Parts: sequence; structure tokens; C-alpha cells
Amino acid sequence: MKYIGGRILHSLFLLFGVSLLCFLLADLAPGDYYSELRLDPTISADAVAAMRARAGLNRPFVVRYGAWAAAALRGDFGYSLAYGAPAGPIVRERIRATLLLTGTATLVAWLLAVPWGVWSADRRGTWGDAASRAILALLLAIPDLLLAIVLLVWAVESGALPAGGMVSRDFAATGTAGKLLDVARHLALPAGVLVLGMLPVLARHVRASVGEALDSEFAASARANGIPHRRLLFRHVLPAALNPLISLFGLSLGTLLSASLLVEVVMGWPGLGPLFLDAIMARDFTIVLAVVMLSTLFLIAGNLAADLLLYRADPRIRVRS
Amino acid sequence: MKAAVVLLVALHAAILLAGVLAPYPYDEQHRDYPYAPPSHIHFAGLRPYVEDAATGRRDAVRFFVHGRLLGVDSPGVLFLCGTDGLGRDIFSRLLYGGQVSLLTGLLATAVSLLAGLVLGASAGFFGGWTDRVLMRSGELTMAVPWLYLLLAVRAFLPLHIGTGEAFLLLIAIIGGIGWVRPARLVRGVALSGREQPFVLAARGFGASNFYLLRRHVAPQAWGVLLTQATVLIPQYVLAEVALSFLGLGIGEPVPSWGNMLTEARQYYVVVQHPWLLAPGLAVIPFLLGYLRVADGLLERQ
Amino acid sequence: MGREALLAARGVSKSYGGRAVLRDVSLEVASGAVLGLVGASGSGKSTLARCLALFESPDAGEILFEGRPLVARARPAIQLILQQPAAALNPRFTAEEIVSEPLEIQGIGTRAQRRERAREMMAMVGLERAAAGRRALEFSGGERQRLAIARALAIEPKVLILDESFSGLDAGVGATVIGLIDDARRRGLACIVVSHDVAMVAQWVEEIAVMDDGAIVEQGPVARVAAEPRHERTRQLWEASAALALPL
Repeated sequence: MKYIGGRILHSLFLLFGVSLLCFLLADLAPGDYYSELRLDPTISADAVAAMRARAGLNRPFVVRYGAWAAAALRGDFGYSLAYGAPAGPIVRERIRATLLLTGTATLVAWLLAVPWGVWSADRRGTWGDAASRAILALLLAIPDLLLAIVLLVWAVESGALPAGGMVSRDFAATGTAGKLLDVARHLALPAGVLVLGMLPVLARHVRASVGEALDSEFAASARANGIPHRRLLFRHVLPAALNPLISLFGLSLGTLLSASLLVEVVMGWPGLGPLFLDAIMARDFTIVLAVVMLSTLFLIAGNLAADLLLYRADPRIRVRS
Repeated sequence: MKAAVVLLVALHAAILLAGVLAPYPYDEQHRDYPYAPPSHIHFAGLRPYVEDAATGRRDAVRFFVHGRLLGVDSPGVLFLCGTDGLGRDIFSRLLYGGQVSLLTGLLATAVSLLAGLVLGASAGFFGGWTDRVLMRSGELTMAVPWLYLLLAVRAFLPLHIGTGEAFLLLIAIIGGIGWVRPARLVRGVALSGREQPFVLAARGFGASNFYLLRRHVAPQAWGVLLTQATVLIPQYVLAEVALSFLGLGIGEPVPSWGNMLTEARQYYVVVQHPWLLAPGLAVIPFLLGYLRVADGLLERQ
Repeated sequence: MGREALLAARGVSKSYGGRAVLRDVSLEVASGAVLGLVGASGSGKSTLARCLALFESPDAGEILFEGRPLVARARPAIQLILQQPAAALNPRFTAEEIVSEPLEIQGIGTRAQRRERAREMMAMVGLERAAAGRRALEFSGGERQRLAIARALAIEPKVLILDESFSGLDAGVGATVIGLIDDARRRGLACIVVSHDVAMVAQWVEEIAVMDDGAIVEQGPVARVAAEPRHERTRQLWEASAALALPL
């Protein structure tokens, strides 16, 4: 219990530290939303200064940080100057879209990676394994960006799947089944790109971890005791190989908000990615901060989850702490 | 693995020699040939030539023209990978762009490794507050998802800057935020290093901490740094590509694989002119090579 | 004879995790003398040796060098050679680099001079000059021991402490090394030989101190301690090493 409490406290400190540093960085940044406005000749410098004062950007650092942090804890991420609306709802809406995309992709990637990894670990040294490793290496070497563009080009050319966006123009008019199908069709390509990007990393890890378990002494003695291979693999080896994979899974969860930035931007999926990018271009630091903090929150939470899962699964850690 | 190393050396050499290998300068526009397809090279016996589709005119391909390896009799054109919307030769821009992207990746890696070496060695060797501060800073840096951290730092810096400054900026921030893993690895080396009997013996001869770090500890870190390099270089090249693609990196007219791909965002254009995807494909052999070398080094351990 | 003590421990005590390893130990060695420090394993003799060379600090008491408390700056004048000197040599260094390292650290001489001195020292311990460019891990255990001794002598220390350092050396090489040390003693070097093998040590040293359970139980000229051991432990050590000694 002490261990868990300690880890949670540690995570909270990290979150606090990151928020402070981000806020500081944003503060030190030359120019802000209003500087971009200044480039517009129709707006006078005085008007900009007045707008700045109204938005409360003139108060001392500690006050602004305190106000922001207190509000953020309530889920209020401030006011987006670029959108002219509270940042919270905007960000939350986008998070839903991103989680739909990355959640689906992560699930599919793990469902494919585990059997693939186990299969190739079982057949190490064979032609099948060599071919599988070559395929995974090639997948790893193809940048997400390229894959996304290629698939979009294919979509445009073949018309089989929509080329971008999350919903079609007539989305509102269709029935529930139609809506689901529409989103699914739009989801297919971006999720596909993400899956193809995650798959090699995960499959390699699964293969390494299962391979190690297969090579271990207890597997050798189990084999010597005459346990048939299939049973050995699934009943004995796989559970042993799980530990390092648990951490990896936690990390996968942690990157649910951050893995899809490029893909969303390229394929027009209305998630956090395009929001973040637009905010950067417009120097809307409210949104930038909110997105960074939320994606950090997910990553920290994912690592924490991995630590705690590992703690429950691995008795050695409990003894040590 | 040796094959991969040879491949990488050859590819890097080719990029390095862009000034010689590229038939055209990177910004030379051929207004008459927008989106031209890749040129076909025909052979009359042993002599290569290109044929103009409209007029049937043949122009010989020549070697060592104006200090460049390949050239063609005017008014013929030699576009090995076709041209972009402004009629610029993509093959040449691939080579020059490769210089930008690769150099960014390599120099950023050097920054990360150097920072990691200095910080990690100090933390591991001296321990105490130095170590604590370093570990906490590392945790904070790693708590933010990498690409978001990179973009956020980029966001907080001026958006409209010149090419030279953008180049240095990218190297500084890509390399700067990546110090943690190398530092942790070097810290491990330094931690075990400071207890080694020959280090203690050297102290007995009156060696200063700096001498011990330089002469005994740092050389043990090279292996670790090399493996890190093979992992970081491709990651950082992709970072440059992403940043430039998003308009936050190197801008026109200097080519980089990233900003060349922005043209490929016009999907309807790409359907008809698929050679615009060449910059994305160019990265692949590099990534394959580095991946193979990284795996090979890992196996060696 | 009343020679001035070059290196002395005064009332030194040290504990590790509650266990007392050194209890109020006082010991001194004069310039040009050779002192044997013997005892069974765990008697604290190696710990005392490390304290004398400032590799560890005593919890109580002090170490005096030339009459003054020993400080880090004086460390090069006191050299300690361990039983497994292989670990005390950086395996990636060449023999030359190893032997000349103390000179390099102290900034003595030019690079060429240091290399020459390194080769000289190697020759004096019976290693070929031509082997100077070979890496440490290419040498055998006994050869590495000789490199460690050559390194320690290269800097012309005032005190040399040998902790079980003769175990890997054959008789001939051992004799050469003893000869080297005796030469240095004529120039003022003080030497402390730490060992569990009393008989071997007794053949060389002038004075012997016996340690048991963290304290010095007997000390005196070797002839007297050999003839009339006053402490039980001394007797035991003598019998033990006599049992090990091969008949000549």
C-alpha cells in the first residue's frame, strides 16, 4: 500500500512539475496570440495592449499560474483566444475523437502483435521467422507520414474509402447504423496507419520476451519433464513472458493521446493533433498548454498503471520495496 | 550487419556528394516542365540519351558537365525522379534535401549524446545533489510525450525565422530534449566506474575527478553512446521531416525531405504524379540500415 | 635505535555496520624499514593497510605522515598494492600507459620521458620492454601483479604497502621484486608487508606485528617474535604457515 501511495504521489509531483515548467516556457515565449494580431495592420498597438490587459496577461507570474492551475484542476483550461470560447470543451471534444482512433488502433495492434510475436518466437531460426522479421523491419522503416499519404492517395484514386475527415457530409441525416458505418469507414485508414506503425514495435517486444521465457531454465526443465510443447507454451511460458509486456501495455495506454498527432493532421481526423497544430500556428497558448498537460497526464497515468500492474504481478518487487 | 553498415556509408556518401551527383541545383525551376514524369534513359549501343516525347528529338546524356556527374545536351532535360509543381528536379532536391535532413539528424544526435555524456557522467560520478537534480529533470522531460514536447518547445519560440536559424534551432531543440536516455545510460557507466579498483588506484596517485572522468570513465561510455546514436539518428531525421512537413522547420526554397512532402498533401495531384512521394521513400533505406545496425549492436552485447 | 616514524597509525578504530574491525590500533614504520603485518583473514590487517594509504578513513584515531595528519595531497607518496592487482589495472590501457599513469597524473616529465621510465620499470620487474604496447588484459595474472608493482615504484613513493602481493609470483620474480624494494629502502622507502603467511614474511622483514580480531596483539623484532611468541595467535599463525611450507 505504501508503494502504491508513493508512486501516486510521485506521479502527482511530476504533473505539477511539468505544469509549472510549461507555464514558465509559455511565459518566456516571445510574443503570444496578440503578437500575431499585431501583424494585422488594421489593429492598432493600443487596441492590442488593451486586449492583452483584458485577458489578464499582465498579472504577475505566480498569480497567473495559480489561477490557471486551480482552474485546470476543476477541468477549466481557460479561454481560447483563437476560438473565442472556453478551451475545456473544445479540447474534450477533440479528445473523444483521438481516443476513438488510438483506442481502436492500439487494441487491434495488440491483438495482432501478441499472436504474431508468440508465433515467431516459437519458430525462431526458421524461414518463417526470418520472413516475419524482414516484414516487421520494413514496416518499421516506413515513416507513418508516408504511409498516411500513400493510403490517402489510394483512397482518392479508388474511392473505396473516404479520404480524410471523421464523418461524411450527410452524417446528421443518416440513422444510427448508418452513422456507425460512416465513422467506421472514416476510421479505417487512419487506424490502419497507426496499427502498421505500432505492430512492428509490439511484435518485436512480444517475440523477445516470449523467446527469453522459452530459453529460460524453468522452460527447459518443464520440457525435460515431458510437458507437450503447446501446453508448455500457453500454460507456462506465456504467463512468464507477460511481465515486461505489462510495462509495454501501460506505455501503450499512456500514449493514447499522443500517438496519432501526425496521422490526424495528414488525414484530417478531427482529434487533438490538428487542434494542437492550429493552436501553435495561432500562438494560442491556452490550447497548447491544455493539450500538453492532458497528453502528459495520460502518459504519466499510463506509466503509473504499468508500475502498479507490475507490482501486483511480480512478487519480487513487493519484497524489495 | 556489415552489409547494413556498407549500405549506410554508401547512402551517406551519396548525399554528401549532392553537389556532384545532382544534375541540377535545388532551386532551378523549369517552367516548361511542371510535374514532369521521370525521364526515360534509352541506349544507342553504349551511349545513353533521352528522347523528347513531343518532338522526338534525342539529346545525349553526358558525364562530368559543369562539375556535376550527370548532365544532358540542351535543350534536353534529365529528370531522374520527375519534377515538382515548379518544375524543379526532384532527384536533385532529394540529394540536397537529404543533406539538410540527415545533417539535422546527425548534429541533433551529437547534441543529445554530448549533453548525455556530460550530465550523465557528472551525475553518476559525483552523486549527491548533482545526481538528484539530474534524475528529477530527466523524469520531468520524459513525462511529456516526445513529439508533443518537441512541438511545444518549438511553439514557444518565434515562428517566422530564416532558414539558417531554423536549421540551428531544430538541431538545438531536437537534440536538447533527447538528453535523458543517453544521460541515464552514461550515469550507469559512471556509477559502476567510480568504484572500479583502477579508478581508486588512480585516486591514490592524486588524480583529479576530471582526470578520472576523462581518462577512465568516459572511454567506457563510448559503446553505450554508439548504440544510442544508431537509435537516435533515424528518430531525429524523422523529427526534422515531421517538423518541416508541418511548416515548423526548414522552409522554402531550401529543400528538406520534410518540406518536399508538403507538396504531396495535394492528394489529387499525387494521384496523377506519384513521383512526388519520392522524399518519403528516400528515408526508408536509411531507416532500414540504422535499424539493422542497432539490432546488430544489441546482439553483440 | 629511535628512527623517526614516517607513517604512523595512532589509536585507529573502525567499524563496518556495527562490527568493529579495528580497535584502537597503533602502528608505525620508519624510513628505510620493512615491517610485517600478519594475521588470519578477518583480523583487520587489510583494513588497516587501506587506512594507512587513505583509501578509507578511520572512525577514530588518526594517520600521521611525516609527523602531520595524512591529507589527500600526500597520497601519491604512499602506495598500496593489492592481492588482485589485475582489477587495479584498467584492462584497456597498455602496459606503458599503466606504469606511467602516476607520472602522467602528477605531471612529471614529458610524454617521451614517462614512456622511457615506464619501460625501465617494466624491465626492472622482469617484463620485456617490447611488451610495453600490449593491453593489460593480454598479460597473465603474475605479469599484471608485476605491472602494478612497477607502477607503484615508478613514482618513487616514500611508503610501499604490499597486501598479499606475492601470491601470484614465482620465487625468482619474487626475489627480483624484493631486490628492487631493498634498493629503494636504501633511498629511504619504508615498506609494510601484509600477509597471513608468517613464515614467508619473516624471511624478509625486520619487525613484525601480529593482528587478531582488530587489535595488535604482539609486536617486535622478527627474531624475538619467532623464537618467543608471547600470544596464542602468534603461535597459531606460525604453526599454520609451517604446515604450508614446502620442504626445501
